[in-house]
Amino acid sequence: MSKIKMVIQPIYWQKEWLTLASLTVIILIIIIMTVFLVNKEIKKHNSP
Amino acid sequence: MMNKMKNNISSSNIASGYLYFYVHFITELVCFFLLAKQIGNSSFLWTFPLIYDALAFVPQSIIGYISDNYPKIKMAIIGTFLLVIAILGYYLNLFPGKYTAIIILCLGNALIHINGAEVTLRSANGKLAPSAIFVAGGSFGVIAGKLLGKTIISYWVIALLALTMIPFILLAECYRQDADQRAKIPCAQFNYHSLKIRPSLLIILTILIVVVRGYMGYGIPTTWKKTVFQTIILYVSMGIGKALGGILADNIGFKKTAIYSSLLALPFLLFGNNLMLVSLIGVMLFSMTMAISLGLLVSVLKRTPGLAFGLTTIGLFLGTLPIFFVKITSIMINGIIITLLTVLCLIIMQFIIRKDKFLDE
Repeated sequence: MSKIKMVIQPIYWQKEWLTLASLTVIILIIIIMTVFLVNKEIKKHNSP
Repeated sequence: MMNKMKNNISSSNIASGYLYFYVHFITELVCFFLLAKQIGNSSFLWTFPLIYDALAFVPQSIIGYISDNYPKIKMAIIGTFLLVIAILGYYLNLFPGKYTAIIILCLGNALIHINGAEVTLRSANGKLAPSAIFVAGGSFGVIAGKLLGKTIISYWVIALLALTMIPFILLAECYRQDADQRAKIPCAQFNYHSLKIRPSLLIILTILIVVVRGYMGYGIPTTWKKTVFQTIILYVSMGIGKALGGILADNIGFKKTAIYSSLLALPFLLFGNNLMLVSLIGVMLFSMTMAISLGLLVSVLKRTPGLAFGLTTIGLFLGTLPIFFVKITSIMINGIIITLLTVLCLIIMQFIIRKDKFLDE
C-alpha cells in the first residue's frame, strides 16, 4: 500500500479548476499585500 | 503563586476574553452548522472546506490592518449580520451560485475574529490569557456546529443564536475603548521576543511555527476517535489546551510554557494513537503553543495587533493546505515527521523567545 495517498483524485480538481484558480489568485494577492504591510510596519517600528 | 495568579488575571481584563469566548463559540457554531449542511447537500465535498479555510483565514491580515487603522468600523457587528445573511440567504435560497453563502459566511467569520483579537489583545496589559480564552471558544463551537448540522434544528434558531452575540460584542468594545484611551501604542506591554533577532526574521520563523502547528493539528494520529463522544472530548481538550497556554504563559512564564508544552506533547502524541487519554493530554499540551505564536507576533507588531493575528491565520491556512491534497497513511512516517517538526519548532523557539522575567522576582 502506498504510504502517501491522494485525498482528492485529480479528476475532481479538473472539474473545479476555475474555483481553484480563482482561489489561488485571491490567496496570492492577499499574501503579497500582507508582506507589503508587514514590511511597512517593521520600517515604522524601526524608525525613532 | 495563587496571589500572583489572581493579580495577573485581574490586571489583564480577562472579562474581555470571556465575552469573546462566547462570541467565538457562536461564530464557529454558525459557520460549521452551515458548512455541515452544505457538505451534506453537495457532490463537491472537498471544495467547501477548502474555500472556507482560504476565505475565512487568509483575508484576516488585511481586515486586521484595516481594523488597526480604522477602529471606528464595528467589524464584529458587521460580521454578525453577515453570518445571519449567509444562514438565512442559504435557507431561503436567495443567493445565486453554490458558493455565495459560504463566501459571505467566511467574511463574517473573519471580521468577528479580527475584532476579538483587537479587543482581547489591546485590553490585556501585555497578558495572553484574554486572547487565549477568546481563541479557545472556537474549538467548542466547531464541534457544536458540526453536531447541530446533522440535526433538523431550524435555520431561524441558528440565526437568532448569531444575534445573541451583539450584546457581548458591545460590552467587550468598552474594554477596547478604555484600553485605547490609556495607551499610545496599543500592545506596548507585549515583549516576549528576543531583541537579538531581526523583526522580519522573527516574523518568518514564528509563521513557520504556526504552519507546522497547523499541519500537525491534522497529522496527529487519533485512531481511537471512533464515536461522537470521543470527537467531542478531542475538541474540548483542544479548547482547554489553547486557554491554558495563555494562562500558564502569564503565570509560570512564556518561554517555559512554550518549550515544556511542545516537548511534553511529543511522546503523548506519538504513543497515543490507540490510547485516548494519552492522546488527549498530548493534544492539550500541543494546543498550548497557539498563545505563544500569537504573543510573539504581537510583540513585534505592537501597533497592529489585528495584522499580527491575521499572520497567524495565514500560517494556519498554509499548514492545513496539504491535508486537502495528500494523506500520509504510514504511522511510522507520520511519527517521524511529527518528531522532526517538533524539534525544529523547539530550536526556533529557543532562539526567538526572550528569557522569562517577572516583575516580582
